[in-house]
Amino acid sequence: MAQIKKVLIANRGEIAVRIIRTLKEMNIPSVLIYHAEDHYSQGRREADESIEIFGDTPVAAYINPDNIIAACRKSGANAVHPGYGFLSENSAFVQRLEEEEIIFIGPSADIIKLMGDKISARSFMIKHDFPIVPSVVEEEDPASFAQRAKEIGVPVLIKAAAGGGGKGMRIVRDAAELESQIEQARSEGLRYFGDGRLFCERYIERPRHIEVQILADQQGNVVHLWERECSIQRRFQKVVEEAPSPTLNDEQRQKICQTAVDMASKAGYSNAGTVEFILAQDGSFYFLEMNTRIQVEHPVTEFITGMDLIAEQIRVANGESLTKTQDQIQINGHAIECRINAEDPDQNFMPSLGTVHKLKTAQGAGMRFDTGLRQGQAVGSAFDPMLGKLITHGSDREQARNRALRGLQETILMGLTSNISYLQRILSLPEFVESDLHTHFLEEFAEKLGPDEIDEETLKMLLSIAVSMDPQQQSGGADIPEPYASIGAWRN
Amino acid sequence: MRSLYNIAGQSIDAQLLRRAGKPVLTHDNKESAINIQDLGDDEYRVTVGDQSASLLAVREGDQYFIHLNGRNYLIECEDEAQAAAGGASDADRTTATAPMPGTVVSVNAEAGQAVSEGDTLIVIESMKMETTIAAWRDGTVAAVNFKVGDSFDRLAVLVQLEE
Repeated sequence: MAQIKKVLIANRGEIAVRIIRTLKEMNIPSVLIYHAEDHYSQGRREADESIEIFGDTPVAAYINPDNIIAACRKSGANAVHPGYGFLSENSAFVQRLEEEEIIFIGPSADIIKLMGDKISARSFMIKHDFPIVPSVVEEEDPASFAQRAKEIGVPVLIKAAAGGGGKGMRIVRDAAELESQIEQARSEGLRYFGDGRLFCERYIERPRHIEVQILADQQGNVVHLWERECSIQRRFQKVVEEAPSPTLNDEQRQKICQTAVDMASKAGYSNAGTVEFILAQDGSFYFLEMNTRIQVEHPVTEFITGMDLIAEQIRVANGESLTKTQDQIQINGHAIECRINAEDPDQNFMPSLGTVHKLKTAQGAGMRFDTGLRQGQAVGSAFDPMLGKLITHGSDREQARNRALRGLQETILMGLTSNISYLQRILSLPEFVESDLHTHFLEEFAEKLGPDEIDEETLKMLLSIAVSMDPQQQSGGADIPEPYASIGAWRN
Repeated sequence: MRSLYNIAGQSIDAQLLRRAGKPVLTHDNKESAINIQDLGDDEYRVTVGDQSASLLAVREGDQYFIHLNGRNYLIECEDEAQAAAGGASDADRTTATAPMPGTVVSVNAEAGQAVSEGDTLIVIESMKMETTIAAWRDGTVAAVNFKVGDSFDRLAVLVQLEE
């Protein structure tokens, strides 16, 4: 059996740093590919080697399989960790690696193909009697698609077959809008995934998003690492995630986790994966999709189980058996993750760009800050807006929540607008404290989550420092003694 | 010297004065004695009247990033012309400017075309998020300055309507 000797990371940002750290702990050399936009990234600083890649756009450089295979050849890396996004769920890429005898740290090309396509995944689940939401598939009869979608009854959700991350996905509440929304979803699907095939399913009101972390080895052992709740979403993008789910009772928890294990077993799954479910208000749950890669929110599972998911992925890809049996994987306390994005929640979440002039991350017990960002680094428009993640662990949900609030208060990020204050508002909402969550939570409470009032004292503090640093105030005013003059000259 | 400081969408008039050699903040027709001590590494001890607090502050051009009491604030200094332009009503406005740098995903209008309020003119993308620029009033398109795939900077004029 091939042994992993050196791992190439086909990714960037926080997940590249995350993977490199585990490789270091396992004494496996790391190679990071990078585009010029990431010249100053934290990942390059931490990787043993880095190789520059090129493309028409920065994203194009990262999703070109030729770049990755050439970098493996050049560096002698015999395994690739794809992280999430980019090529992580591209079965053709995994197939190529298999042909080139490079180990892919993830499941086989066949499984990725099965689960990566929402339509084939859905057919698989129907065939094996797993619960799925009532839905219709366009390609079964394209001419009648809109009609069949109407027959499900609004509200419905239109999704791109190859979609993910909320792209190419639309809720339709008015049957009259169905046809135009179908065309928009198709155009997004084509643009983002090069695939315009669609399907449509019944939309469940006030649903909760529950997902189960799976780990499987090549010997056929499958375990779950319990569930995560990711109901706090904006435009289908997760914002706050936690583990375990605060609402499931033990019986529901066992049932949903066992269903996920059964699905993975039936599919012959290996490596880490996540089965996502929609949990309805009445407690019924339905298969949503399976993600055949590490997820952004994996650290909450690592906190409650004490396991290193990246290390487990590498061991399994290396042909080793799982190190733990199901009854050795217990839930310890509660963990919460907050995604810190470069966006302005008070201006319709407009992306924010700029240079990170100051970055200080929170410290202390039960706290982890995963980021690929460095002070001095420019955040451009080429990649998604996630800057980093604050993850906290406590003996219970309330301790984890209070830690997250402290962590957000202590996180200093200057040079661009972020959603840090918004995350503080979410975590402070009584409805969040009470765990009254659903996937439209942020829309429902949009008003309460609006900008904070600035009191008069705070305003005076802010204005005092601003006028003192403002060079215009300096030049227009009378002589101003030190230190005020020098403050204003701080940065041009 | 008066300046306008935009905090959370509100323009606030403030001024640094001196009274008997001591710095004074004037705002809302009130004066407060201030004292600022530079603690190094972007940290300052700010005293306003009898209130005092430590904060972090970084200035980048017209933008001030401030971290005070566990919150991040952004203050933008505006000159008076800018503040006035921001107040132009949709009925008078002739240009749609880019709210952020990005690329053009689709162009849905052309010069000479009559459009109604709400019609999509151009769709742009930044950080993988699409934003639709729609006609802000009825009118005739004077110019579309970019084509699909073009990239642009913040505040670039994307589309113009005739007056």
